[in-house]
Amino acid sequence: MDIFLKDNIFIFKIKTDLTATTIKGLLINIKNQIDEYKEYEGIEMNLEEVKSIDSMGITFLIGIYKIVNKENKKFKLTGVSEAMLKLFKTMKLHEIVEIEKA
Amino acid sequence: MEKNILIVDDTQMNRKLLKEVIEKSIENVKVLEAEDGFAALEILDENEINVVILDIMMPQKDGIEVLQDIKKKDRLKDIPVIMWSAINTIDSVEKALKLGALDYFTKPLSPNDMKVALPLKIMNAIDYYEQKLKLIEYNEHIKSEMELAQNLQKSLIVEEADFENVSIYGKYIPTEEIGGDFFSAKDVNGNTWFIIADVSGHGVASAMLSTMISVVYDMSIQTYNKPNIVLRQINKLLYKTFEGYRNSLASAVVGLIKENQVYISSAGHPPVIIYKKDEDEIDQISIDGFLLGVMEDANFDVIQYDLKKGDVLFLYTDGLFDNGLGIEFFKAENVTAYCHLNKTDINYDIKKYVDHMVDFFKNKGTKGFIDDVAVLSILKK
Repeated sequence: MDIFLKDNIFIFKIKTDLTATTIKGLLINIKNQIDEYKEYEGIEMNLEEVKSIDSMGITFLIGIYKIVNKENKKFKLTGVSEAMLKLFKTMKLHEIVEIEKA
Repeated sequence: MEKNILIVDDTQMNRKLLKEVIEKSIENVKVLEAEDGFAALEILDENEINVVILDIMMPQKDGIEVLQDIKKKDRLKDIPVIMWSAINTIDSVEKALKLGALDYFTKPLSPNDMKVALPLKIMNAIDYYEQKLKLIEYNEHIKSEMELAQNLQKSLIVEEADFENVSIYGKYIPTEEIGGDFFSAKDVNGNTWFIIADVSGHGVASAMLSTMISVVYDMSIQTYNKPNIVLRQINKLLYKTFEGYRNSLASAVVGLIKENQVYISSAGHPPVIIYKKDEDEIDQISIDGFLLGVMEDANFDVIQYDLKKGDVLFLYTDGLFDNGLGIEFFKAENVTAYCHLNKTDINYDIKKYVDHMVDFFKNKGTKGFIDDVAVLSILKK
């Protein structure tokens, strides 16, 4: 995962699949980042290189959203493919999370 | 509690020396002696031994053979064995360690061996065995608890039933002893309610959450008459639960069959498949809906479908099509495609049809199912 901080927004570019085997490490890493720098104003998750996502991957994304939302900060998914967007729409995720297509 | 240490050596002087060293340096031990391999095995069978000190070079039955016999017996195989040997039999020591001996020391014993090394090795072996026994006991306890939980979960899922208006047949395959998927169908006031749900992850936590869903569902269908309202009740409970536990989400479909209509509501679940007998057609019912536990005041849509005699509904969880290969997102389409290609078999034997479908998807991936699987078929009479 690549990590950038731009205009106080954390940009996490995910470079693996979002599945049960990968999310634990990602979650720890992201939590460490936001714990260390509490002045951040939002999180952008770039999913351009994510080829596969399962139910645990969705849980992971929504988990991050809930953490950020609780602190009244921004949350956005970017680099979202058509197929992934279709999946997110099935779950109405687009109604609660800002999503930007690839 | 006194620990029993068994010394096995064909030379009496060696046994005497070891016994003296042990009794002088370690408290609360009783030393037993065996002059050959046969006597050793007899003593092991008749006593609770905590450590065995085993000479390698013995006539008739050598230490390696005794070690092999010990490792073959369930009751004895975990007892730590310390081999002792002359230096020129190092190959035997290597063999013994590979067979599972815990440690070794060489003859003759040096003063430091007698004073320090040997007593420490024996005390370490005693501690090791104690820990191992505790671990074995704990594992057996966990296994027994899991079996109970598994039986309880199985009793909550009715895989086959005949109601006045429908008959159901389903399969539930958890990846571990218990899992987070479940389904149910019940007659309430002459109408048939059904649900299929999938809590993300698997194991004990997911099973507990799916049981919570099951309880709220059971209560709600007695009070409400719309599947989307039932989903709202489940969602409210899970939203509160997931506030403190963010490692899970759930999807579900809830439906109600009233006479010749089916009302279906979905919370982010894979599509429902319907086989329409008269038209001999397969249709996919896709309903967008929030996953459970994401938004506190989520509203869920409900759609209505005609359901005639001979029509079949198929519901499933994503474990059916998730083969972990990560090639496509919408592998749910594969399930619809399968139903479409095999629809002529639906009329013959619905149970066989479901069984074949499950086998087909199980064999599709290289590792079988990697997530819990639930499949439910509902045949309209």
